[in-house]
Amino acid sequence: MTTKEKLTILADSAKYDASCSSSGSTRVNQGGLGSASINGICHSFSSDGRCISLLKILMTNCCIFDCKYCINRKSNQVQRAVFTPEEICCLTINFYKRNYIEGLFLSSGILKSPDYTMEKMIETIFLLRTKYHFNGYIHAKAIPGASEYLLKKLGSLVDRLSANIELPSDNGLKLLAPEKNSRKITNIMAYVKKNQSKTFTPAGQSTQMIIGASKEKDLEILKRSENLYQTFSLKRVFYSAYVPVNQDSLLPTLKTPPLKREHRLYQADWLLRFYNYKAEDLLSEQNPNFNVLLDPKADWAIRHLNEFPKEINQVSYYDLLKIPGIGPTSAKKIISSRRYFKIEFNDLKKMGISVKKAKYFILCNGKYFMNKAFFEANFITKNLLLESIEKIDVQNRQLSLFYEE
Amino acid sequence: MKNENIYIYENFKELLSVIAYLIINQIKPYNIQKKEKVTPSLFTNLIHLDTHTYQQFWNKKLSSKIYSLIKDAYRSEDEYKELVLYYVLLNYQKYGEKVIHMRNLKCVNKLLALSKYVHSENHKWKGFLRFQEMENHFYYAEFEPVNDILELIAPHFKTRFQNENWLIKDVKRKKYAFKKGNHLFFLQEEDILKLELKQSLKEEECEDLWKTFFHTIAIKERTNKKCQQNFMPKRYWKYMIEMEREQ
Ligand code: SF4
Repeated sequence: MTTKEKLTILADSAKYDASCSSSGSTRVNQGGLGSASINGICHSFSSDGRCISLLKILMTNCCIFDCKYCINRKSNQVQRAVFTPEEICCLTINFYKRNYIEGLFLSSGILKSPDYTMEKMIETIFLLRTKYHFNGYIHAKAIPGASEYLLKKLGSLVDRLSANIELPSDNGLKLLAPEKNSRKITNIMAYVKKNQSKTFTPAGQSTQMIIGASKEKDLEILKRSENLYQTFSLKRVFYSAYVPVNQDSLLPTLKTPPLKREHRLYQADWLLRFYNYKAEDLLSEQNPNFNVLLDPKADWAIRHLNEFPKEINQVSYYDLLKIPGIGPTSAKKIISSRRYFKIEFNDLKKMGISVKKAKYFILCNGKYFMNKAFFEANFITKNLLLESIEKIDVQNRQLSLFYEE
Repeated sequence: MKNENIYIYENFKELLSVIAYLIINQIKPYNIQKKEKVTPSLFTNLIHLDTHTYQQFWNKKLSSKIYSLIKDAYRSEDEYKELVLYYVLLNYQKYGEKVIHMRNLKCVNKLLALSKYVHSENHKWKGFLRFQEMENHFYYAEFEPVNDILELIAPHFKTRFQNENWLIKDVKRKKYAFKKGNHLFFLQEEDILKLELKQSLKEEECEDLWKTFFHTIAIKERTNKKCQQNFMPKRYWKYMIEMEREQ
């Protein structure tokens, strides 16, 4: 099989992994090839609008497991391929030197055993780092069930080492990936967390869960993420709308991947990480799924209207963040400016802060943007809905996916 | 009707001196323009000052923060960038360092916006620029940035590709960054005698592999070209080999 044929098979089977980021590492070039960039760099965007930063491939799509949702499961009749370590190195180096990529994302199906597979991955990455003196970014996926000494070895070679949680709940995993077990996955996370340092996975770890292949509600998903962030200090949880690739009585029949839902989860995830919200602020047992029409923050604000309108010349940074339409960048602008002048509605526009959503929830120097009598839930909801029939919603998510890690 | 005065300068340093002159003499300029950019008209006077005595004026006065903001904004192609710098420096004289937080001033917002634009374009090109491998392991790239960022971006590739020699051409401005060994040179068209570069034998195959990867990695069920174009506007496509078919 030619390299090109292998690349076609092994990029195709890696494409469902949502992680693309190359950020968080400050590896410096010590005489070799390449460097990492703390903010990450996108090198291209594929026709689905996702950032291409890394050469994202599987080492092999052969697998001894039979996870229901996976295109590479044992029981599927698909063409199989295995890359040799040299092939992966050459591709990476040749792409890197032409500035196509920031580095390598290497995952794999399971060959023979988890340990055997990990050893092969380590051999590849070791070669890349030593023989080819490659200093660029590497993200490797650990194989659940591999021995700890292999995690140790791999972790000291890569920038990011992570394991996918796959499904939002243990029950989901039992049902759809019976050979996997969540203990083995969280063991990897615990190990990486314990040992993370400048020389061991400097860019930390992330994980991914598939949305819509199993039955969890948004509340359960978000609580799981919250728990993962707290327990393992993950950099990111990625949500991947299930793309129906297999027929199976245990899988839902979807016509299209649930992109809208994925988008709301990313927004909510954002609120957990940067805005001090808890999963239970946003959703509850009575209200366990996100509103498809309103973004989670606006939805929350309308349900807590008694905390508004907020005087932007006074309230704290975290209170500013609670205002729909105001993010960390705008909040910082407001804080640094208001020391020097009283901010009026006009100033916000000058400062490049959009008040489209925010105007319903703020006072500028004591003034509301229209007659204060209109400050009322129904009126605001109606207007937000009119304005937020979001035109290009999946776009913003990609931006946040990449730029503000 | 009285003619308006346009003050002329040749480079960044001289621009700062011109602005110093204007501020000290309390002159509000109609416009300040780079020599090669002005189009003379019947209703304007072009004034080329002897700014010799003002050269030292800003020394030690400008904090490094304001200096780099000004320098970055200067890289933009904004029609009125010189006036923006003039007004910012005028206010800087009055308020000092804190002026960069005074976003109720139009010129301050404009300055920050220009500098941000320059940096974000620089960041994008760090990813979108494409090298080709030439014979003798030499690498060559052409690009067309809107802002004048060649000097900003070249050091990034110098650290990244320490052992490679390369040449990057800003096609529109006809200038080059040339990296050889440990050295980085900035050259003009006339410095380059004759550019005879031949692609290496491997180049075509490698480009083909990249295109294969690029088309394979997209998930059909999620196709969203609008989103793709939002992040990667068409003006970057010209030199991106993977976008060839799309143009
Ligand atoms: S172990 Fe990984 S590659 Fe193998 S079937 Fe399961 S998800 Fe697919």
